Amino acid sequence: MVGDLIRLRFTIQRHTPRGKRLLGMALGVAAAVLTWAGAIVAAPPARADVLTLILAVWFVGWVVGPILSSGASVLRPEYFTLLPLEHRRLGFGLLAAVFVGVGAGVTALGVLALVAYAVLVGPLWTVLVAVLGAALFVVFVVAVSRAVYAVLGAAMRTNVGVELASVQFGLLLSSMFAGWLVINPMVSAFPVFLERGFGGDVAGVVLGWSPAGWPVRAVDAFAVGDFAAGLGWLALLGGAAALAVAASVRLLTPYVGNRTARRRRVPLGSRVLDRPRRLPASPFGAVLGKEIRTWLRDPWRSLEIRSAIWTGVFLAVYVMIAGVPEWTGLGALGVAFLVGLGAANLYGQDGTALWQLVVAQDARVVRADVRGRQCALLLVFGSVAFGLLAVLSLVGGVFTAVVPLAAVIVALLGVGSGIAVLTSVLGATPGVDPHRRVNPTDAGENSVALQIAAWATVVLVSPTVGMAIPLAFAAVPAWFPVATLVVALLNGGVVGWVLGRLAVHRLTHHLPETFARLRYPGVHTGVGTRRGVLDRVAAMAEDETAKTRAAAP
Amino acid sequence: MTMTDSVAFRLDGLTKDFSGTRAADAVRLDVPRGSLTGLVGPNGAGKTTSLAMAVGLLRPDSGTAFVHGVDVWSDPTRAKAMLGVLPDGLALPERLTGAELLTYWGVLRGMEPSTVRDRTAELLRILELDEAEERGVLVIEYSTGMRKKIGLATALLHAPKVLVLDEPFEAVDPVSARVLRRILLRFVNDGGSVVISSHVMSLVENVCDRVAIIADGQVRESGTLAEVRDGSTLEDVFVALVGERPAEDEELAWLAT
Repeated sequence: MVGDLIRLRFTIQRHTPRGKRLLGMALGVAAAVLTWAGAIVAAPPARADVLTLILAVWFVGWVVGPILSSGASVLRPEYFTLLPLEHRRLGFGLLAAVFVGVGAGVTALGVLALVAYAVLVGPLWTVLVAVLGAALFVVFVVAVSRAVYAVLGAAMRTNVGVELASVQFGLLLSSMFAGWLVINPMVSAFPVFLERGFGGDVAGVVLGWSPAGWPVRAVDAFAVGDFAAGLGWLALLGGAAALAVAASVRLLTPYVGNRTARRRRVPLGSRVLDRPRRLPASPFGAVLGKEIRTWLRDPWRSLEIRSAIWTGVFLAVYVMIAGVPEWTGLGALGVAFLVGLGAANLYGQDGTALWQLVVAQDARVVRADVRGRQCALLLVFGSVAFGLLAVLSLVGGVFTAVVPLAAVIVALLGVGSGIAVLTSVLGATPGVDPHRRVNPTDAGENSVALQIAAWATVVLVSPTVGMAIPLAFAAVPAWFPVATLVVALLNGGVVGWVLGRLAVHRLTHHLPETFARLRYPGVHTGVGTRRGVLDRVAAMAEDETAKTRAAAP
Repeated sequence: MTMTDSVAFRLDGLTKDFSGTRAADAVRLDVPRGSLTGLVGPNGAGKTTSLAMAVGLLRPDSGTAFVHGVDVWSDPTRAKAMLGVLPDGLALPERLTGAELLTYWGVLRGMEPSTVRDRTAELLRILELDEAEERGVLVIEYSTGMRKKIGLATALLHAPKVLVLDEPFEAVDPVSARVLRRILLRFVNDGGSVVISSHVMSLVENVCDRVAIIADGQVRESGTLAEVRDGSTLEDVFVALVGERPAEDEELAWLAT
């Protein structure tokens, strides 16, 4: 059966664009070469530390890689629900299929740098220990990676689980934004690190005791003739690998339970037949009500908000570590920055529900749909961002930066709401059908749209940032804070309105085509007739969708 | 009589190529006012594609459709206001309850909130979705049959003139199917027009007064039920038109071993 699964996996992957596969392989081989170089180039006293650190990086890469890359996994356990297979066999088969691939191959190539290490530190026969340690480490890393991915999938069915997934995303995103606070000193110190290693630092000790350190320690122990310790480290690694395999085999089984978390009461706001209507009785009010309910009830939307909150919290932690408590409010700014990214695929997240807008087509209805979605974004992300600004400023205890931060948040919210709806229209990307979603990345993402959204946000808030920076760092006249807030309101308001207008225009004229992208993915819809800039962006996003669908991790 | 008077819904030469495969080839069909027309055809014959183009969900390569004389593709707003559509297997706003969905849908289409509320309550009661509503069940938690029924409610809510329903009876229990049939017949008696697609010949013979047989992307035969059947059964006419692979003696002999 394992052979069949592997063949199936390769058959699916054969439809991946060749360029993308070659690029992945080239990057992997480069990483493997760097690992070997690290093990060989490092000075003798630093060699163990350097290799341990690189192995740890491989480990982290395997754990976060599948979560970060968009698209669903190639072989989903649900495909095999009806096969008369023992769950354990299926789980084992699915795990085994992961080992036969480019990713596991280049990892093995890299981790085999342990062989070079063994040759350099001990007698030749320790190479055998190195090979065994490398094999166990690869098994451990790959199994943990699948287990973590499956746990996150299971997590989407419970509130606690969504929270845990959000913490992970928050940690990753905040590290991408502010990780340089930590990474920068490391990079500048790398030549020293190659000379001296951690030099007995806490970090070195912790890493040494982590699984990344075990194969290195095993080789070390055998090299100096301490067979008991060497066997001990190998046994520890073998045990960990066995546990990880057991866990992932158990988790890689089809889920056949309820699709949604069990509810104890009727959903908030669902008594529409008995209670008076609070929102305006207009198409705009209808969309706003639907969007707010969806943001509060859909785990995949909720994941976007909660990830934004945790990103903000971790950013604040980084800022505290950097010793500038007056800037803890930057966390709230992080939340506002994520509006345009977290909501960059609203139509795709709704599955094929856009058909409703197509059959109700009317200029007023399309406008209401875009504006209602924008307004819901402002309400949901706005309350979170300002709530977090208040809390984080109180925690920081210094309030000098609150006004400039608030100004940038206002601008980011307005700009982000515009970018979100425009990229949602231009880059509409289908995910897994809403009632078949399992994993956090199943709602569909378009990396081209995300890139454009991120950069456009930065550029479009620059008027406000241009005011906020002098306000924060220079002596300014008394009217300047008010002027900054006015500029922020105008900046956010005008950009949000204009981008929303573009989204309305685009959707009005390409409504069936936008729907077709979600309903018939892969069939060329003729959206990108490539006349104007928006056409080109839409065509780029569509190509990216096609590639992502073909090349799921 | 002009087209507006006699023909409620016209598919006029609808053609669509999907990556080199012709899914619909100049599909023509007239649905007279006050009729219930069944569109039948084998899998992949182009039923869903033709209906999707006719209601404005999929842009045809050529051809168009008219609702009471209004062109769906050149004057979509006016045409679509007269259409009630039930597509097959598409998502809805999944995290709303049935009543929330209908309220959203009615208000979005510019209806009076009090009308929406009354019709919503009535539709949920008649389609037996009221109990789920009491419990606050969300659409994503609905069974396949319940999804079909709430979809049908969205198609009916704004009191359209023409109903286009893709496989409306699929997965619906016999009791609900009777309710649905009653609703459709009443709608037709009051001057509305209905097109349903289906694979089930007996159902079409039971419910529809007109029928069109579509195969390989073309309408092969259409007219009143009696005209099309011509003294035979609909199934026989269908098989004669579409063709049948002759059964072999040893076919699937292993199956019952």
